[in-house]
Parts: sequence; C-alpha cells; structure tokens
Amino acid sequence: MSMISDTLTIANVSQTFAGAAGEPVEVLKDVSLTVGRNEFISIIGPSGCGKTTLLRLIAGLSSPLSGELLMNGAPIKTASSERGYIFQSSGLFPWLTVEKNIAAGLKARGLYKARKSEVQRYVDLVGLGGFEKSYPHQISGGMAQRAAIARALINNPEVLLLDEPLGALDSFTRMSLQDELIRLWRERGNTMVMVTHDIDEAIYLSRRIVMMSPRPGRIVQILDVPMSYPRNRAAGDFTALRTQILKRMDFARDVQEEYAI
Amino acid sequence: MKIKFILRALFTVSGFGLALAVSLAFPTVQADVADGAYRAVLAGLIVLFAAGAALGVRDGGRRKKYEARAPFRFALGIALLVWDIASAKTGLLPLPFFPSPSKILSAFVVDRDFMMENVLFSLRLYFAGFIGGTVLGVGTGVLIGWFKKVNYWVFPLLKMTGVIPAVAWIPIALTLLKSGFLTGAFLITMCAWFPIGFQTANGMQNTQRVYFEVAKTIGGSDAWQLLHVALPNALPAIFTGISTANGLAFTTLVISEMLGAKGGLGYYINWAKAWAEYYKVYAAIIIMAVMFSLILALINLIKNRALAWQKGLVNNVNDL
Ligand SMILES: Nc1ncnc2c1ncn2[C@@H]1O[C@H](COP(=O)(O)OP(=O)(O)OP(=O)(O)O)[C@@H](O)[C@H]1O
Ligand SMILES: [Mg+2]
Repeated sequence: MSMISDTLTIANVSQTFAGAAGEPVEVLKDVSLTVGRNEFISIIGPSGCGKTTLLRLIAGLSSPLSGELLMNGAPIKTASSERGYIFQSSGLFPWLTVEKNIAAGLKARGLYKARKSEVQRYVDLVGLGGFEKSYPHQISGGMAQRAAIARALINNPEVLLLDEPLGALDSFTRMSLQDELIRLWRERGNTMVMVTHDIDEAIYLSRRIVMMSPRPGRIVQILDVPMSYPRNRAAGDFTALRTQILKRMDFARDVQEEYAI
Repeated sequence: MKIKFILRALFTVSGFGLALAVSLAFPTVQADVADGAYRAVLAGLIVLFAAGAALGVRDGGRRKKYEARAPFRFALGIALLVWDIASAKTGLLPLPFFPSPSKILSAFVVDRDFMMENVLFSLRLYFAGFIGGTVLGVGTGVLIGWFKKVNYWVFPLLKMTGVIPAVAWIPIALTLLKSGFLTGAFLITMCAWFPIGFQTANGMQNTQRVYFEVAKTIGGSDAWQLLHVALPNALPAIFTGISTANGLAFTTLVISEMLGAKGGLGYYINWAKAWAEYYKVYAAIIIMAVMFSLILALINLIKNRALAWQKGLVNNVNDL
C-alpha cells in the first residue's frame, strides 16, 4: 500500500505506564501498522497486551512514549470527531435519553439545528425505534451498545475505532450486530479498526487481522482474510483460518494429543 | 366494601366531630379565649375529609390512601379534644405557657395582618438568601470543579469558611451591612454557599473519565464538556447540597430574624414573647412548620423534575 492511500499510519509506537510500585511497565513495544482507506481491520491478542492502549493512541485520547501516529499524513494530537470511538462499555450519558445520546454528536459540533431530522434515521438504523425516550438504564446492554454505535456514526467519522463493542453481549445479539456492522461499513465506506477477544468475530468481519503478543504488546503477525462477504462461519476456509490463528497464538497446541490420552 | 369504606370515613371524621362536640358542649373556664376560629377549623376539617371520602368512592388509589390515614386522622381529632379539655375547659394546663388550641388559633384572627407581614418578610428573606447562595454555590463549585488553579486556591478557603456556622458572622455583618434584612440574606447566602459549592465541585470532579472521552471523540469542546458532561453529572450532588443547605437556611433564617432583622417570623416570636403572648409564639411555630414544609415540597418537585433520568437507577430519588 502506498502512503497516499493509507488512512492511518502507526510507526514504531511504544507506550509505558507506571506500574503499581511506580516502576515503568512497557505495554506497547515498537508497534508499526498502516490501515488503508475503507479497510476493516481487527486487533486480537491476550488480555492486557495493550489493545485498548493502542486504540486510545489512534483516537488521540493519549499520546505515545515514542513513535508516530498519523491520519491522512497529519500527526494525531488530540481526539477528534473524525475518529469515532466505541468504548468497551457503551459510555452512554445516563442523563440523556437514547435519542439525545445519539444526537449528542450533532449538538457537540453545533450541527443539531441543521441536521435534527437525521436523528430518527440513526435511531432506526440501529433498530432502536420505540426507545427514543428511554434512558440508558432502561434499555438492555445490547441496545445500549447499538445506541453508542449510532452516536458515533451520526458524525460520519472517517475512522471508526471499536473496542470490543460486542464483548458484553450474548451470542445471538452479537451475531446480529456483527451483520449490522458489516452492512454499515459497506454502506458508508469508512475505515474500521476493531479490538476483539473473539477470533470468529475477527474472521467474520475483517479484511485483515492483527495478532498481538502478551505484554509488552508487539505485532506478531498480520493475516489477510480473503473471503467475500457475507461469510460463512462453517465454511472450510473459515475454520482453517481459525485453526491457523489458534495455533499461532499457542492455544491449539497438542489438541490431538490430549484427545489421544 | 362500600359499607366498610363509609365506616372508615365516619371513623376519620369522628375524632374531629367529638372534639367539636366537646368544644360546643362544655363551658370554657380560661379567660380571654375565643372559640370561633377553633370550631371553624374543626368543622372545616370534617368537611375536608368528608369530601376526600366522596372522591375516594370512585378512585381506588385515593381510597387506599384515605383508609390508611384514617387512624392517624382520628387520633389527631382526639388529641385536640384532650388538649382542649386539659386547657380551655378545665385549666389544668396553666396559661400563658400552655394555651388551648382555640387560643392559638385565635391568634391567626386577631393578629392576621401583622402575621402576614412577617410571613412575607420571612419568605422574601429566605428566597433572597437562598437563591443567592445557590447561584454563588453552583458558580463557585463549577469553577473549583473545572479549573485546577481555582481548586488549589479557592477550595481550601471554601472548606475553612464553610465549617463556620453562618450566624457567627452576625455581629460583623450587622455592623457592616447596617440592615437587618441584608444581614439575614447574607447569612443565608453564606450557609447555602458552602454545601452547594462543595457538592457541585465534588460532583463534577467525580465524573467518570469515559464520559469526557466520549465527548471528545464526538467533537465536544472544553466548554461543551463542562456544560453537557460535568454539570449534568454533578446535578444529583448539587441537589444533595441544596437539601443540606436548606436545613441550615431555615435555622439561619429564624436566628437572624431573632437577632437582627426588624421583621419575619423569628422577629414575631420575639415580639410575642416580650408581651408574654405565648399563644402567638405557638401560632408562629405552626406557620413555620407549614411554610418550611411547602418550601421543601417545592424543592423536591424541582429536584424530581431535574433528576427524572435517575428514576429507577437510584433507590431514593424522593427523600430529601
Ligand atoms: N492508564 C494506565 N495506567 C497504568 N497502567 C495502564 C493504564 N492503562 C493500561 N495500563 C496497563 O497496560 C496494560 C494493557 O492494558 P490494555 O487496557 O491496553 O489491555 P487490553 O489488551 O485492552 O486488555 P483487555 O483485552 O483485557 O481489554 C495492562 O497491564 C494495564 O494494566
Ligand atoms: Mg481492552
């Protein structure tokens, strides 16, 4: 990929935090990655390997110890509505109704008066019609996550960063929201960077999968997922890729042996 | 079921009925007691609760409440009856310290205009001071909660002056402000300022980081984050501050009226006491109870409106 068509460039990024006793803890080490326009990329890796840390750096919510992060060639310095962020917990404002939460992005940017009529479209887009006037504590976790997605989408961000957006959901809700995410992405053509714990989800959704090592997080491998959408979870190439990832992440070792005993 | 409810209604009004019967049947032995107001109030209560029962016939919810309150209302009537007998009817309770209910109620008749004047004075004083204190408290709290520098310089000051009971400023305030009304308003402002300011600052500082981060990633400026994230997040705490401040403000109001102001219910109590007209003191205390309850109810109403989003999220939105 040429530099021009890359939306995100992450070059030699390292991050260190102060540990419990104040000692420096290396969380990310020399991470380099480019993400092209309209890509859907997933980041997987063991808990605590720095996935959220990396996503926050891309968002501009924190700055790296060393290295460089660029969006369309310009350094990322602060958070901006160009990079939407869907948090691990929905982060809906409890004092606003679903509808007003979704409209918050327009209000924050002073566009509400002009684009008021769009709010309902986004409510419907994520299937929350009838719950416009509900407060976040009155809706289910899946609905809250959908509202959070609509809140990010209404700004039409060029890059959407998703931190385990479906992590807290049951498998049915999860699968239907996965389909919704694919639909939204293909409709709008923005760039998606998603952190997930779920290998199937990564394969089902993304064009490329970034695998990270345990702390300090480094990129171990980047896998292409060449299948066309919609993907079939039971297909041979799907399961083959799953096995390949499990092996690479060291979870599939000696499976046969164990069964043999 | 109908019969049972009618019996409940009769039970409710019978206490007041008996009290009225006693008032009418036995001669008053204490001097200077006009029974008119007392009897009118009893008759009024009977009519009121009879009307309440009539409304309850059609409305199940109302009926339940009415039935639940019946024993208390009956007891209230009996208490008045006993009190009336012990005071006006027999003189067991000595005047002037223990006037009869009829004596106390007659104060509302003989002293109506002067009392009203003082009630209005108290209300003006209260609202002037309390609204001032709320505005000042929220303002200071926002500055402390938002700006690190203000937090560093002003918060300790707020904490130090906040623990001083506002009435301690009376001598200084009276000397400097010269007016009793201004002094009272100043004291109430002072006593409301601290809890409200403190709670506002705390409520803002306790905002979860993720809300600010959400605001940033959807394009919210610093000012937007202050107004649309930190401030709404602080709203429950602000109302906690207002509740605390309110209790302090009632006390401060009455004390400042007793010690400096030339009007108000506190002033009225002092004045009545000077004339040894203790029944007027009791009358003023009754007015206070009603007035402060109404103010509490008003604040509760505003609070429940403003915090409607908390309903079901937090256990007791209703208690103040
Ligand atoms: N602000 C911080 N201060 C100190 N340590 C931090 C901070 N943020 C993250 N860490 C540490 O950095 C490491 C990586 O955290 P991160 O949240 O990026 O992991 P993760 O890969 O997202 O994990 P998970 O899959 O469980 O969400 C963890 O050990 C965490 O304790
Ligand atoms: Mg994480």
